Amino acid sequence: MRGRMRTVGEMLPGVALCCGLAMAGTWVAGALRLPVPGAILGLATYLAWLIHGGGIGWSRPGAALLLRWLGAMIVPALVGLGGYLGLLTGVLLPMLAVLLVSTLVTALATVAIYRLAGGVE
Amino acid sequence: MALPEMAPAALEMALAALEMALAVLLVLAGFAAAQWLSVRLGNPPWASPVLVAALGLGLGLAATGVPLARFEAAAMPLRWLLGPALVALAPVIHGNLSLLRRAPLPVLLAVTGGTVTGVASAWGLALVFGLDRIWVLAVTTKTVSTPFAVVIARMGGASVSLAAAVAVLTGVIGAVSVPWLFDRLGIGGRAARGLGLGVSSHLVGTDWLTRRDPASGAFAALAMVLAGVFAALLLPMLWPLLFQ
Repeated sequence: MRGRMRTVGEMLPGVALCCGLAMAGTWVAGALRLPVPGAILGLATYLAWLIHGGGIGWSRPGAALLLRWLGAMIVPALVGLGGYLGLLTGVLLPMLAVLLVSTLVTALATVAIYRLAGGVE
Repeated sequence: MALPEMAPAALEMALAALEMALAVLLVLAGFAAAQWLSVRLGNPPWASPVLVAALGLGLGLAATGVPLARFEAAAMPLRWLLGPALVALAPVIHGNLSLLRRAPLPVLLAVTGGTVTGVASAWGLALVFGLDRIWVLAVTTKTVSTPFAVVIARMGGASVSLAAAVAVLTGVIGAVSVPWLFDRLGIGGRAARGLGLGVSSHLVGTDWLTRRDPASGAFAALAMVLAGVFAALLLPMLWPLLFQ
């Protein structure tokens, strides 16, 4: 597989870029007291840079590596749910109902708005 | 000489670093194993690798008696990497910009309107069911993919674990129920289906759709990231108003 043959050297620049932009974003958001997560500022900066044609080739393998393992980064937070199991049993059914109904309503609303706004297929 | 006093501190630091490395390796190995299992099962939404890995690790911790707080502290480096991983989503938007340029206004209106509907409906329903504040807070981030939900929750002082669990569960529920509903209602069209699934069922829904219809999955991926960015801008400002 091509992905496995990628060397650390190919991935390092993209990973370093994303880490740097996330840290810079966090710093800027903190310094300016912006009500925005710092990583979002980093994402916006990276996107603006990509749109202007920068870093497309060399930063992608590293960004792809981070995305490939994104699921693993969520796992610790999910394991932490164990601390709420006692609380959760009492509200499980209403919570599932909220999630199901709200998810279906959201999907339908998105489709309806897209069509009403003249979205094409 | 200060050496005898420093040695225990240095040893403690080395042990903490070792514990971190061990926790990170365990999570990565658990996630890789869960991914392997998910592929073997044919990638059903309910066998989401994130969910399976968390369940396995949670059971493992309970069996070995390792306190949750100790594990969470040791797994800190992974949690930190969520920020850089969010930044790494920029190429997903960039790669699908042609879809946005085709019909910018309808796509942006659908994503923002859908996200507002997701937040408002979850918040309203949670209030109707009389759920406590901790749950109401957790469901307001349900309609954005988990990394966004975690970052937003961390910023707003909500429970990160609950936000993550609710977001993952929403993805699983949506990937199972939304395509079914679309089929029942005769909603076709790759753009509409992709956007609807991407906003409502984010990561799990997008993954599910991309495996079956990559063209529609591209719309879902674009919608998922745009919805996450929009919610990250909206919710930190909205929360103080909703939860005064």
